[in-house]
Amino acid sequence: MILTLAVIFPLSSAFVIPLLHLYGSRGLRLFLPIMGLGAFVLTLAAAASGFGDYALAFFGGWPARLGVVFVADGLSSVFLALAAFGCGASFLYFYEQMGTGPWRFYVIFFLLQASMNGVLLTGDLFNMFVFYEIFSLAAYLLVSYSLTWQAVEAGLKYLVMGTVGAFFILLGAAYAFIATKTLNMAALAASFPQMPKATLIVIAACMVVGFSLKAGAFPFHFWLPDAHSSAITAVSALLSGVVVKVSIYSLIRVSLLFFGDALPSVFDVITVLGVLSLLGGHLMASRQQDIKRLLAYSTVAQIGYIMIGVGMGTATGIAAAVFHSFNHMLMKSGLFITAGRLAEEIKTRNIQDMKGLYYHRRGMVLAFTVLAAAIVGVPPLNGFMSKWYLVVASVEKRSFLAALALVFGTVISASYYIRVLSVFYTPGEGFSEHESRRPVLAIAALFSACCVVLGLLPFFTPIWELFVEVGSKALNTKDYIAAVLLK
Amino acid sequence: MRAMAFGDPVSMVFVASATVLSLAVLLYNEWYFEGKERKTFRFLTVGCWIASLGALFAQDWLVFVIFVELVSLTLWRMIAFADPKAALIYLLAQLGAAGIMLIGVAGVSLETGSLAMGPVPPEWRWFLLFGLGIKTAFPGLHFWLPKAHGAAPTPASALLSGFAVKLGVYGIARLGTFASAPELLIIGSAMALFGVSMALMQHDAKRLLAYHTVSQLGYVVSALGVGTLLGVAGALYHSLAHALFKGLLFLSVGRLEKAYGTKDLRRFGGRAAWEMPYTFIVFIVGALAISGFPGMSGFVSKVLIKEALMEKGMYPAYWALQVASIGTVISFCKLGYYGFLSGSKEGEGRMAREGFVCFRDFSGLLGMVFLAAGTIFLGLGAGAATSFFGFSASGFFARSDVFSSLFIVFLGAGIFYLAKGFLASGFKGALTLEALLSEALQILASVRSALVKMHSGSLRFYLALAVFAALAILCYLAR
Repeated sequence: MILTLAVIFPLSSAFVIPLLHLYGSRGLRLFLPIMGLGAFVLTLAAAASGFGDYALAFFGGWPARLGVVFVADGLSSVFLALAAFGCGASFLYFYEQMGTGPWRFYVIFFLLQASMNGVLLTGDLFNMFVFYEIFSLAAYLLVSYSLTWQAVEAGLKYLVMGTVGAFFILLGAAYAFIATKTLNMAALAASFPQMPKATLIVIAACMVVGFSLKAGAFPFHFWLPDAHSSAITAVSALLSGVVVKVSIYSLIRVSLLFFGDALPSVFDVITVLGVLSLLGGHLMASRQQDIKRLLAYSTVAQIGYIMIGVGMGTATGIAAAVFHSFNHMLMKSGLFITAGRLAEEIKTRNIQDMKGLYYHRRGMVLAFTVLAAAIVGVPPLNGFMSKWYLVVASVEKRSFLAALALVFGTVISASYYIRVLSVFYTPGEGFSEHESRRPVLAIAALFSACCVVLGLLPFFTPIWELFVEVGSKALNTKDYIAAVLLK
Repeated sequence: MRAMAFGDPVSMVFVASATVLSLAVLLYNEWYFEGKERKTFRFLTVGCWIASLGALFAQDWLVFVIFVELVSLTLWRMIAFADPKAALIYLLAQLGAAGIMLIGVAGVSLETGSLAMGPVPPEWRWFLLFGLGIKTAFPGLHFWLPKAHGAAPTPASALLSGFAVKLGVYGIARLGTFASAPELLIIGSAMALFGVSMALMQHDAKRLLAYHTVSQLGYVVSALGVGTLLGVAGALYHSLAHALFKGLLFLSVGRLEKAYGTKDLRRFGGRAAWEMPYTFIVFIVGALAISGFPGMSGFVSKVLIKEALMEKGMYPAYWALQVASIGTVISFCKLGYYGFLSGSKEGEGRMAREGFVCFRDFSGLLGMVFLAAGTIFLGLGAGAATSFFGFSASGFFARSDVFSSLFIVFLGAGIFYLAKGFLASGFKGALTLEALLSEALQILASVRSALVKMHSGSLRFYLALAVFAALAILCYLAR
């Protein structure tokens, strides 16, 4: 029940908002915070219900083979929690800034949240594609929401590339359906090992390319820097923090369920894509003068880190990838919120024009510093811990090249984040004297505090063992199949 | 998992050197800096000290790497005050080193199931040695060191040379088993000779000292390579002694630099020995100690190291160290002569006047005197200090050792006297890895500009690339 609600509630919110608007702004003012909070709480509740054991929801009482089923396990739980926090932060940011005025934004926002929850929960391949379409459309609209020409162009680019990605996914799903006459993921997983090799390869290539395109991995990333940097701040934080992670989730889920046993060379492809994104993203980021573009390229690189973890295909690797996904949500949402707010206040995104910002916007710059240190991997912050686990995972698989790439990427990222920070801290003049409003500062402070806490927790609590359990459970396809099909 | 503990003698020696040096640098800071910088440096010095204590008390490799990184961060901040670019190179080198160590640590933890500091399986030892080698400035991995030292404010140089690089040595000491490690012997001798020969070519006083750090660490590394108790004791003793006298030398050169506004030996030409007598005296103490003059700390530690080498019959390393000692003497004659004695130029301003006028001047001097006293104590009180390691040292300081040390000192001084004209300006065109490094950066830059060209904004190109990549993936999977 709770699983369905996590999708239905934001979805119905999206449809109720226009109605509320018709009856004046008072209703909106009353209900919007409730909707935001409700979506947050329900998503977290769905995450909690799936964390221990498999939680299932059958639509219309149809068994899994015939109808659509929602499944929550450890993997989707972590990503649901990630989505809840990321969406919550960007909802708060936008609500604080704009109030209830731009109601159309909230319609799209809740559509996005509902469809992301749907992707994370669904156990049906075609249903996943449908949710993908909804959430991609919502994302295109959000990117071009500000209607400046950059935003519209970026949205268009995202639309074209994203549609191509969606077609790849659809193609994969179609082939899978033709080959097995079923769309339920558990049933598909059960029948994949008996499939002819050629079919398997085509499906694998379609799926990997489709999800990499949506996630923005290296040779498919060209839409990402434009989209993430031209959007308004709240949307940038949402896109970089949450939206690409949803595609990562699908990549993990599909590659483990379908190809874990049947076609292990998929994981090599994912590793190579990861290394390429890492190097390409970092190298491009080191050239940027626009702070939001720099952060966007850094997202490409961090997706590379996560994909290296996925590509290891071991419990440690998946656990490290999931942990890094969560950390990256915190760091990159926080970075986009702080940097975006600073750029809005001084009306430029050029790094060179931000000289001496520290002396005028102390709180925001300090939060930015902590978050940047975390994403570079300064110990003992969370970025360091997740990179350490990624290194452990790649050493475990003896892929030293991936491990060296992780180290090398970290060195490059240190160089460009230090460039930004040194500009912030060099004395300079010419900013209006008003500090950011409190709520934004509170979000930024909360996220940077989370970075510190998550960095220290693995030393004192068995949190890492929890993640490894999530990873090994995600690897255990037999349990998944049994849980879904035998109920 | 017990992450921290109060250590054994090995950590205590390093703790002692870190503490003494930090204290001296704290005192010296009061004289060296003005205003707000002084406050920042007080804070950073204490932070650096605390972080290095964390590294030295760490019981597992991961915690050790974390704290070493924190030390690097504080030092980076210090160097960045003077020269952000050199500081960045320093930090990136340290980060890379830490990353490579982490790969090794990950391997160790997977193979043995524990992260505890100590000897590691041979396959992973190389990763750790490589990472620690960057931190310790092995020849070939030392590219960051002269840059960082040349640029850093003097207190930061002292801390860097005094114990930041020692943390690498500490890690190597922890890697050791009581068995001889030929690779360390070779690396150590090479370091000693390489450092000294590079130092002879420098005319920047601080770079000269920096290369001597490489050379002196060569002694320590080769002593660790011997693998006997005596060797380890010599290494530890030399680490402690080196922290004190190298700190002392850096601080006294820092005073010269402030007084004459340059650190180029060719431009000093001052009468510093007459204008700054106290500085000159402590400099002499430091120079004698590094040359191994009897009665100074360097004498004791070098004798210990050489005895350890002789005991195991490792003569090539022994002679390499002897030659390096002669080079050391020559180079410090050069520094002393051109720095303090050679000319008649007058120093400028308040910085050149010496005395107990106000608290700040007094504090700066006190820091140096403190280190000098430590150096002399380690030299004269050798018996007490070596008994700390659990053996009697009385047999080592026989007449022959004294004579051989004196012989080296006088030989070096004589060579310097004869070849003074030749050494006056220092050679140019020193061979370094910097050229190679900049070559690598060039390649990286061209890769990057190719990438930038790819971001042409043309959607057709992006789609074509995506489709080609998809085909490539298909081909790979179908192979």
